[in-house]
Amino acid sequence: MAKLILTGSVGIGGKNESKDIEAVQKALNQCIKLLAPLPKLKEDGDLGKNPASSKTVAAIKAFQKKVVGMANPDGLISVDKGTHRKLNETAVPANLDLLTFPGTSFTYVKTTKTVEECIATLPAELRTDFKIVIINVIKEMHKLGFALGVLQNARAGYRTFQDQIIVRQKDPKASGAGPGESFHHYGLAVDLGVLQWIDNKGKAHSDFWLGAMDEMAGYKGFSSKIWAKRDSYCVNKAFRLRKERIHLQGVPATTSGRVWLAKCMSEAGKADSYEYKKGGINKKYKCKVKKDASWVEIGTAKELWMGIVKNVTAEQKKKIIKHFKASENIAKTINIQ
Amino acid sequence: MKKLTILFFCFMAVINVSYGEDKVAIGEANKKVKAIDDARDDLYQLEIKQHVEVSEGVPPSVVFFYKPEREELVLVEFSAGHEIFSVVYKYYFENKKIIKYSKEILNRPDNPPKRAIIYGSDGSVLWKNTINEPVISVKNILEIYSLNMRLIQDASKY
Repeated sequence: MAKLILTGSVGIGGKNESKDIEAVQKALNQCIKLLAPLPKLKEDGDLGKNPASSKTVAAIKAFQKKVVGMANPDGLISVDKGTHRKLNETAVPANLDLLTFPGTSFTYVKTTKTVEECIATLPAELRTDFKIVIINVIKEMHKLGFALGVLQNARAGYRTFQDQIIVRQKDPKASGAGPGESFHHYGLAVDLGVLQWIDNKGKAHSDFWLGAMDEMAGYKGFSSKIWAKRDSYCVNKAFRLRKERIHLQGVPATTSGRVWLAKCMSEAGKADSYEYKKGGINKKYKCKVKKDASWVEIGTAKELWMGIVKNVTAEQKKKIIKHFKASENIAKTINIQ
Repeated sequence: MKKLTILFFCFMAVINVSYGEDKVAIGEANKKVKAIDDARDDLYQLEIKQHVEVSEGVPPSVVFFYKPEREELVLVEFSAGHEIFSVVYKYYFENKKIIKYSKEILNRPDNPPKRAIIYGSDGSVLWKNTINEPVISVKNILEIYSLNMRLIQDASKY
């Protein structure tokens, strides 16, 4: 709203100029949801014969108690003092339709992005069943007023093996998964963040991780409620990882991407009678050339990507690299139970 | 009126002195922080690191940097990877007292600013931007360090 400008104080013992009273009544009406169960005030610029018993002063006191946090509200708004300043911060444009997030007192405005725009951000490579779940999450969150989707410049949707290498090169401290080890390669993972949300002043925010929201006055603790609500629509068909707040995947959080890379490689190596399995916590993979042969440690996913294969002959190395590269396509369709 | 004017100037003088003192103290704190950063490679380290099978991001780790003599803790660094970006928290110490705390989010496309709190020698906050307190309290950090050092020492007995 336009800034609430007062020429004098309003309320008990105030100057109570009619124009000022009307401005206060308008401002209080703009945050009347916060003062429930009080009804909207008449915007007539009048406090009646006894201001102390007027509905406007009752609303001022309710505002001071509930929003300003005064233990003993005095029912007076003095120019540029605490209640006046807080009213300026809290009041919203009259034409904004404020929403209150379920189970909280956080208020905001419905996103201007359409649900179709949000859904259009999903990568084409997403598997159908998983995509249906994610579309439903987007639709439900959109009903609540939030535009969720996939950020296009953040490799938040489908990733090629090369993308995974780039992510790790850019920040080695960021990604723990090597090429082939992330469910982003399988069309089974998206980083589903907030493309847009609008605060209770009507300001739109592009705040994908809701990091800025956490630092905004009046919105502390809101982001965790939003993420929890998003997760509630996943109904055990999309799963979040404990430490990756925005990541959702179509397989349980305990599923190992390394096990599935080995399975994809084994699928690629079937014709050559090559089998693969993941090694221990050192992130290396093992290969068995024939059924009766013993397992040989061949290196990490990153090493295989770079063409480094250990403990094998030159001919075996060629085949292993071929299987590793072929596993990128197999990952897109392999049946993960 | 004259008295009021004198009082006003005295008040402003106190404010200026106090502001000047803070500025000097902040400068001193930043110098100490730089000295710790410069000496980083020469410091001993105690590291707690998680090794997990399933992870899109790099699991969190914490490194306690300490001076070899008297095992004085000077820097604690937490880091955690989140697929495409990482978060690093740092605590700088001198004589078991916090000098500076910082939180940095690296490589996130929205490029959030670095947050920090600079403390005075009495533990008061001299300067801060957007954060009010460290992710883990300073008291807990010191306790965790001392417990882990004890654990390491006890484990080395034979």
